[in-house]
Amino acid sequence: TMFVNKHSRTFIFKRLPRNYRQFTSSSTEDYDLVVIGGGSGGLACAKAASQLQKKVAVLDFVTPSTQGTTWGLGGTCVNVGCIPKKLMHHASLLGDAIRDSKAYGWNVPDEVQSDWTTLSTAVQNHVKSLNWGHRVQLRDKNVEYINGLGSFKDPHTVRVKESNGTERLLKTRNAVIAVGVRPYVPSQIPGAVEYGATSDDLFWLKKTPGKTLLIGASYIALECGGFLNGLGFDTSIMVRSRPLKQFDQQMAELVAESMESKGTRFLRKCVPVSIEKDSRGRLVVKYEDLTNRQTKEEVFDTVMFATGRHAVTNNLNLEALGIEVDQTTQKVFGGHSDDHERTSVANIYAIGDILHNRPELTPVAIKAGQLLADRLFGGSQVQMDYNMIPTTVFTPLEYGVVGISEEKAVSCHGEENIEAICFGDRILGLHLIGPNAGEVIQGFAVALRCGATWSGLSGSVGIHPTTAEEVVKLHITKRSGADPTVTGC
Amino acid sequence: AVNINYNIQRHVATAEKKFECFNIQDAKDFQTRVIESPVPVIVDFHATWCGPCKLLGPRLEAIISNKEGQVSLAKVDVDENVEIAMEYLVESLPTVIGFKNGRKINKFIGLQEDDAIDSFVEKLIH
Repeated sequence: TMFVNKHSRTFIFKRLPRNYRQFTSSSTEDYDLVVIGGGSGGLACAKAASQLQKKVAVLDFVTPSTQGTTWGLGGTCVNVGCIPKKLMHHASLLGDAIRDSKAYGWNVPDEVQSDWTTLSTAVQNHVKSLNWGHRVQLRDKNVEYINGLGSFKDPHTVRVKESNGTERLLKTRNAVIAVGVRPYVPSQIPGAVEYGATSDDLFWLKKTPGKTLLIGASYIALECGGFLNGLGFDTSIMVRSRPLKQFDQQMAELVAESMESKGTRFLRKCVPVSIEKDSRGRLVVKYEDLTNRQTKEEVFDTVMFATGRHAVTNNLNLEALGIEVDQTTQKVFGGHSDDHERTSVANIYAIGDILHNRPELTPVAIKAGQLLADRLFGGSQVQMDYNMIPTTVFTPLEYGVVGISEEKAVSCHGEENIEAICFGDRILGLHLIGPNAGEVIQGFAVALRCGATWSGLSGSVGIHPTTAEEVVKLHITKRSGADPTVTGC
Repeated sequence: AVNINYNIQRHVATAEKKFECFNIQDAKDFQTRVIESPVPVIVDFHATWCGPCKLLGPRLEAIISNKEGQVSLAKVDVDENVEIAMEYLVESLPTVIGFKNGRKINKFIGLQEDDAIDSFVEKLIH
């Protein structure tokens, strides 16, 4: 069809949807924004848009895990990520504290045991209270919540299929894809899908994990292995090459060493071959030692795969709309028309873990979602800054980091230009392993964002006695080869 | 001589229930048994994951059972009946709302002491 603008005599071709209706005003669509995915990013974006007086709906639906686990509103972070993880990490550290307390004069029994049922029930109850809290918040902020699986019919129509089978079509000006990612289980390994648990299941396990094997070298494998070991479970982690490949390697090794010293067994350079169930219901894992090509076998109560997370976008109907995704990860490409989150379709955006090549972190998703709402409806031009995003690996001895790794710094700037970790006076990265590293690094991340330099940092006075003060007291360079162990104050 | 004091309590059980206490199944159930109830109804909004709710429940039952049927107790699990909870603006749990002649009369939030609960129930009845 051809439109002719009578006044300026320009021709505009437009492809019309099948159910074309003559619109008389620009905002006849039912919604200003439909968000597919009720996780960290989706909820933040929806609430921010609603605050700007827009009509918003958020769709959330949890496809059960390979083991049949499902959960409520709030996404990965609330249900099977950050929140239950941190609670269990804390539970495991409390065990250490109880044991340490004896030396400080507390009258505690020699042996203390943790009870998985008590812990997991308390964690699950807390998570459920958060599910409820999110429901209440959406109502308070006037965001419509639909428990259903969303997909695109066309760029301005989202189809939602509710759990009772009813289907609705939502017409909308804009849409945000915030569906996140799910654990990837290598289906080519016999027994993996059938018997292997993932982080989707661990926090909802009714029975105690028992003797556990974690397969993977990611922060998920190490964090879960760390707290399971701390809670008293016989814990092994099977690593194909090196732990925490995405992080600074010297720090990664320190983390792994600290875990080994606490009793976690690392099966390095090993890969799983098959998983079977024995007559007693336990899992028999056959695996190969890549160093000598020997196949070994061991029995575990629980096997958990932490072999990466992947996008599940095949049911969103993205291809039909021309929304481009990365062929390897299936994640959605952003960055179109100078907008970090805009997809290849002008009115559709992606935020959070589903967005290609961005940090998979809750605060990143939240901020990106809020800034997007401001740009869409609040007249803002501010883009998300994906640089210098701090994060922490919550292994028993925590590893907090902001900025780049030493490997990246050397490859970007040349080894002769890097000292300790700064480029001239500019700090490129700050890495800390220690108790409460997460709490410590947060403040320094702000400092770096505000332009803190090496002179500024080393010129600052420390708070004594703390862990954090070590950052401002740094004075031994790696290049010097001197022993960095602190003995006196 | 030895003085022995025996303190014997005899528990007497009556055959019939002294008050109506029920779990709401859905919106229709709420309409029939709460809104259209001839006697005032105390509605206890609770959840399985809510610790204080588990403590409040028995206290409510004990107090209401002593009112000789002048008031009933309806229990609403907010996860099973989200729409009802949303309609009555329930946020924190436990939330207890008193209904009379189909209208919301009074409400309290959180675990309360027995005497506070009792005066709340009395206020609803009279």
